[in-house]
Amino acid sequence: MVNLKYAIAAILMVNLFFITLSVIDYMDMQRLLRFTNDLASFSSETADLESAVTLLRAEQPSSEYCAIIDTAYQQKITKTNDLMERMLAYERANMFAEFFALKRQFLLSNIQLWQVSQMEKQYCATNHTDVLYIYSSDPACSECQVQGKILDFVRASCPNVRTFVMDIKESMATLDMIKMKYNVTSAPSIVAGGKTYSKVLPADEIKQLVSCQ
Amino acid sequence: MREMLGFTSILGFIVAFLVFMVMDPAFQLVYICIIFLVNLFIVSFYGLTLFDEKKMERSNKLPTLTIIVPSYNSEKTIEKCLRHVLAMKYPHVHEVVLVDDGSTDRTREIASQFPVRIMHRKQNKGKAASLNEAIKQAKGELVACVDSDTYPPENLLMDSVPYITPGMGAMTFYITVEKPRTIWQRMQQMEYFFSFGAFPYLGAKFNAVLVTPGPLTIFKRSALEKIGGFDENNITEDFEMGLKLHKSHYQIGYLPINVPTEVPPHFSGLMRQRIRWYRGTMFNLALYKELLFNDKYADVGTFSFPVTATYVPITIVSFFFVLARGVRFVYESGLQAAQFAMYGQMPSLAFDPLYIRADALMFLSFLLTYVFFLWISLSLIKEKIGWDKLPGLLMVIFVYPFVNAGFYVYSLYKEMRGSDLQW
Repeated sequence: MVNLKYAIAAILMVNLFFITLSVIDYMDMQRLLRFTNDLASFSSETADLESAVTLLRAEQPSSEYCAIIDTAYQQKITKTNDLMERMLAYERANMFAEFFALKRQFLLSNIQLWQVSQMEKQYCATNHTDVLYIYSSDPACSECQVQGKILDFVRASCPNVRTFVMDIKESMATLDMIKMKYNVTSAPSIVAGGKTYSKVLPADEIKQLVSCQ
Repeated sequence: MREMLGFTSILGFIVAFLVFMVMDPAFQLVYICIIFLVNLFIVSFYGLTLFDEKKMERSNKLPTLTIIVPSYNSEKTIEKCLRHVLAMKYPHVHEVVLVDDGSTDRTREIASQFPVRIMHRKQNKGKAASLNEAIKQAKGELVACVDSDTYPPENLLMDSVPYITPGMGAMTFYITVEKPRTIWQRMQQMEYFFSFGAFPYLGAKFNAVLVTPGPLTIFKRSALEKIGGFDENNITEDFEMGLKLHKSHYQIGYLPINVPTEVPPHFSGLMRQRIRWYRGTMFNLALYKELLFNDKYADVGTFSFPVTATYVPITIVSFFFVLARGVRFVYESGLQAAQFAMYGQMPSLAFDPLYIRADALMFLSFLLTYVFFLWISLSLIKEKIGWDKLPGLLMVIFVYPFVNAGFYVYSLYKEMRGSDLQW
């Protein structure tokens, strides 16, 4: 019965392998779950601000209404970069679960938020500046991570800055149009005040650009 | 021709390195999975034998025995060695023979103070030749070969000789490191726990111990005579001896009796020793390739020998895998650190347990089996697990695999190139 030993060892091997795979799968699912949760709240906040601005359009614009929207933006917008960083790390760590759909949803919400923020300017006399940061999910893009950190730093010191993120590699109708409109070809890039800057911008330059207050 | 082979091997190394440099993460994972599966199979196989209860037969016969101590320039250790050898209790020790293989130091002078027969050879001809000459003159039914830097315990013979069955050609023991001082010795101590502890212990249960360790092995003289003694041209005569015994269908026994031996204290000595071992491994694997998957030799042919044979290429390829990953990691994180420094920013150091990647998990489960086997090894000789073992343990987990794989790569190059073999 020499061969039985080998068969049992092979069965044991397969089982141990599947145990490891299921631990990996469990981790994948946890990542997905956590990100789905975060994304759901992020999307609902986007929808909230979108309908608030729509409401603003219908009503007579007043400074009280605008103040509500400004506060909401200030509270919620800090999450974008953090969410993006986490999404990238999760995407890299994942083995089985696909982040594809969630990623697109996140990017789309970001763009919506950006558009709403720009729209708000037409009705309110706010002094905020919208900064669209185009990153690359390629781990080799070390500048992208630096730029993300710099933007975090700028936002923390300038309350009038609103940052939004966009992936250069992702192809969606909205993203493609924006890329074409602002002539974005490389990452990291920054779109602020209708202009495109295709390099890493140090904190001081961004602060000047957005007239930091 | 040899020059060409050496050149080809270097070319192969470079190609392997470059392939792993540009390898897609998905393929990396496939490679890791394959290694992981091979390891799981080996661990499962050994793990299963844990539950095999093989009763050791004990006979009351105590045959006559000759102890042979081959020595070459071992003035530092010979006194302690002989004191231990002579203190061993056994009623039928025929004689203790010290073969002085043309030493140029005080070895002979020190040995002459002990009641041993000294066989002096004017010319240094190597350990195998010394052993063969002594075996030719040996009168005992059993022959114990003890290295001149090994200190066998007092009760070794009484505890082991009764367990030598008629089918056995040799009895091997648990070789450990004598008083580790340097960090390299501490590392080797932990490594010896594995390679001379749990693995041969479990391997002996299905008669698949491949090596008859040089520091101390008891042979049957009849077996040695039948297979023609040690191969004098072989660089690792102990591995060759093990394979030769198996080829002649002799069994090799194993008992977890602690036999301390001296090991190289520094990196250079360790490297010289390992290059010799691994070149010998490669050479002998090729020499005895007919054992591979040959069920005439039971588990030796279908498990032990193939495992040893698989491990050589896996170790060599993995060296380049780890090297390429390491180079990329250092390059990328260095670039990033430079970028961060340039713009006066700090990278976020936030740790999220969900960042742990799949390959890290596989490494972790591999680590767990490592610890499990270490625990078995230590419990075999009731060795305590203390903080003093921590440096060695860290070294054996994080430094040893890479350094050892590097030795394999260098050995392969030397073997291909056909450089001179040195003891």
